[in-house]
Amino acid sequence: MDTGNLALSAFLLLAAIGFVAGAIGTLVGAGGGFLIVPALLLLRPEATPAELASTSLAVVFFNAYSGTAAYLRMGRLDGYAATLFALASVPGAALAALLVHEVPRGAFQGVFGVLLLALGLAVLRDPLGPPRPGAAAGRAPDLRADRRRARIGAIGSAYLSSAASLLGIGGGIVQVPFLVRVLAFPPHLATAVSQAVLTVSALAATVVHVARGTLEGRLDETLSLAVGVMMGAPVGAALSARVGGAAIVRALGAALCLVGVRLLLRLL
Amino acid sequence: MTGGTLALVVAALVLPALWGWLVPGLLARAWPRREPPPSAGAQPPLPDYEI
Repeated sequence: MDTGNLALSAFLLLAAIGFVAGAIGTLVGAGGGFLIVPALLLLRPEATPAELASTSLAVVFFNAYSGTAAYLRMGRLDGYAATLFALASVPGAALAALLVHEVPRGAFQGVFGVLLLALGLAVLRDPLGPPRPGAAAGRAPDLRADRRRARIGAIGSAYLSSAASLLGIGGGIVQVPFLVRVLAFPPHLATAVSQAVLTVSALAATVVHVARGTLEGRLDETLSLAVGVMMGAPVGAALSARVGGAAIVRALGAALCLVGVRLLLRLL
Repeated sequence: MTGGTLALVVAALVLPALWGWLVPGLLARAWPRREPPPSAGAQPPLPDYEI
């Protein structure tokens, strides 16, 4: 693909990929990176992991931003939790964007692939896990009062964002199960908080990639995907209001398995 | 592995935990809960007259 002078057909293909990634990503509270990275792997076999991660994370930013705006309009965003976990995610996401240039991904990718597959299967088997206080009432936990849970959430978000930034997949596919199963967030609130965290962590990683010049020469490709995701994200947000909590988490479990298998297959 | 890479790996392993531990306290201080005013929720005083 000639990324310096993008043909109309290439633009339409990338925008269509972006639209699907945007809609499905927002529906499950992810940024769509888990769909964008494999698509880019097929389209650009010569790209390095750092190039793929930087393009994907830039698109994830646009998608997550669009999704967060949609959730804000719907009044579904817990502002305190979103701010807390977004702030916590910044250093790890930025460091991982530097580290992806230095660290060979083979071993880490294999471990992460197995972890994602295991987590996906666990979520598919038991979508909502054991009932937890707060989740049943459909309310987010009070993180101002529960400092222990706030710390677990902040530290978890920080490490999840680092690992996700290293793989260029944003991290919502892991963030939502973490919020639901560990912190007892109701799924429909977890997806909105996850989108807000992705917006900030993907932006932090993208700023580092831009500063290092990793995104140079691929702006048209990134923007074509971004146009698609920004059109798809509101569709995903609207769909999420009509789909029940268990269905969202089940869709997420399937997505986790998909990414896990993809990561393991890439090692062969 | 160069010294710079090692420093990055160590920072990536340590910094998220430290920052994640600190940020809830900092945010709670910067963004305290807004307590409702004492009169909020109270019934308006009834007029003092007989029917």
